[in-house]
Amino acid sequence: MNADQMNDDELHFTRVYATVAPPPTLGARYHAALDRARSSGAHGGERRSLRPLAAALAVAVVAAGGGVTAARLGFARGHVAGPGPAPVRSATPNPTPSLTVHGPLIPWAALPPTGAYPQAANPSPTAAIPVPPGTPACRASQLEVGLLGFQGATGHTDMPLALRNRSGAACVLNGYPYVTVVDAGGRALAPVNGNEFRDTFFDQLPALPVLMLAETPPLPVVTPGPQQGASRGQAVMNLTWVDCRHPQAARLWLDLPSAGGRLVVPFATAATSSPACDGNPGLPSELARGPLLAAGFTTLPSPDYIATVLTVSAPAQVRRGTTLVYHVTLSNTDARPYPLDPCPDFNEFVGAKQAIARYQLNCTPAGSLAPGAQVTFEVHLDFPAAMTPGPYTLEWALIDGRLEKPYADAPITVVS
Amino acid sequence: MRMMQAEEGDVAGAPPALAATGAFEDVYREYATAVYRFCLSQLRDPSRAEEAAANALASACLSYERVRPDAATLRPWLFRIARNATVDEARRVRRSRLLLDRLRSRSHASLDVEDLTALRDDVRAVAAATAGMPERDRLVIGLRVAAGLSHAEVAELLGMSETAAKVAAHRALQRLRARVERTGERR
Repeated sequence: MNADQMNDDELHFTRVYATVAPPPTLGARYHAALDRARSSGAHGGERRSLRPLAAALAVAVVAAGGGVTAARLGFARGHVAGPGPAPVRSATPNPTPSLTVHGPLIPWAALPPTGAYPQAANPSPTAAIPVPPGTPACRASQLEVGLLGFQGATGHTDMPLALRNRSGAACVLNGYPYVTVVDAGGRALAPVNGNEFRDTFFDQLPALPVLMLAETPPLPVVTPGPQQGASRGQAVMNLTWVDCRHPQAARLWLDLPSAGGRLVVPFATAATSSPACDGNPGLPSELARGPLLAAGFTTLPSPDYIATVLTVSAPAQVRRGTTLVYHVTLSNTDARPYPLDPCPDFNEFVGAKQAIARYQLNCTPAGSLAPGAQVTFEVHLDFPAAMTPGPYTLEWALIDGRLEKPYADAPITVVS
Repeated sequence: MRMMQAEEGDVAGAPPALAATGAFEDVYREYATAVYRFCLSQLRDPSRAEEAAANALASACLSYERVRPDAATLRPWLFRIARNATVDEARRVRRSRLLLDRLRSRSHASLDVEDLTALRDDVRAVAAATAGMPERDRLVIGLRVAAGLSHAEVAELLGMSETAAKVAAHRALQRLRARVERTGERR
């Protein structure tokens, strides 16, 4: 545990979690996940989200002390934080055999790192169907509501509702209705109002305006069993109601946002159970509802990464105590330009415990990289005289979260 | 790939050079339990927590060669990956349940309660109480009491000041205690 002073709550809950041991199968699942990730390493699918993460992590690590370790390792560094240059046998770069150049060749400049980490645009979800300006808020009298069935997941039960516009004019729904479960005698069994219990286990989207189209297909017929789907131009809302006593409900009151009035929905069902009810039948009733969502619009958009290809062209060998000169080619394979303003930083690694060096890329001369364009950067890296000869991997990572694949590598052998 | 070995006396205090996976195995041995506990605190379901923990540890192993976190950054780095793994796992479950798993019957038998009830009562109670809390509260609770991170580490991971992390933890745990007490489940 950490050395911070802990208060009673922290001590109590820490002790609770201290009783948890991972299942004995964790090791096997870890190795299986490792195998899967390694086998898919050359493909975009599963590892897509890991790549920008690698660059992000590189930022954190370098910022937290990479320079210090680089100093310990005895590397001469241009602008990496830390003590002065370590001994380098010769300031003269290694004789460079022919290195690959694609596009303009940008000369080396040892620019100090900026510490910036550009992020990929994380597009905000937008309404599934654009809402024309001036569209009025839906009134209860325009709508009808139906149940879509049940679904369960990890101890949660969803009783989603579907809403349909039965009037002849489009209207808009936006937000969270107030919901009250009532019994046959009109007694409120479970209300949820205002900001309380917003979002259920099943929601993953924020509240967005939902355009309720006129003349959409009828709502699905409610039958016990598989959940039915609603149609485009209709709305859905997840609803969970847990009550360990399983009271019988008769109706739902649905008070629409924007003072749209009340819908009364037949709801002849009993409250569902929860794992929390086990041994605690007196748990209070809990009703939660998600936002009104456009039917059929259920996923968050992925970050909008820019597709690029990085390649490292380096001599097969480098003599320790000298400066390696190599090339990094950046190809924009996206349909959009890749703006290199501001120039991102990059890290270099040679199998060390830390980044060996970090600089800002000298990309001002390159400007914005047009779709299909390539540019090659000359890079210098000092290898310490104390380095053990042998084969290594030279890794180069652009600290730019906008890119889908921000790094590349090349084999290199250090000789004495 | 061979790891670089500095010559004797050159790398004071550096960990011994090991094969890439071997070096991470030390991290695995030391932190697998904490990663699993953190995942459980976020996902509540032991099976899902195990899946997320396995994926997080595998991701960490793969990027360990590249990142090489030092002692000060290791835990924030590792639990940032774990956090992402729990988010991915939650999304994956929700997506599959919402979009593909339309065939569940209207039956309590469809609830996946077996795993949760396999936990100790007090863990189950805390997990259940944590479930309905805001994401930031869940994260702070998971990082602080399930994973055992310091306030400084929580602050770094969540991008806030250490003071803000302390306040956030204090308030989140107060709310957690209130929820547990409200449901009568605090042992």
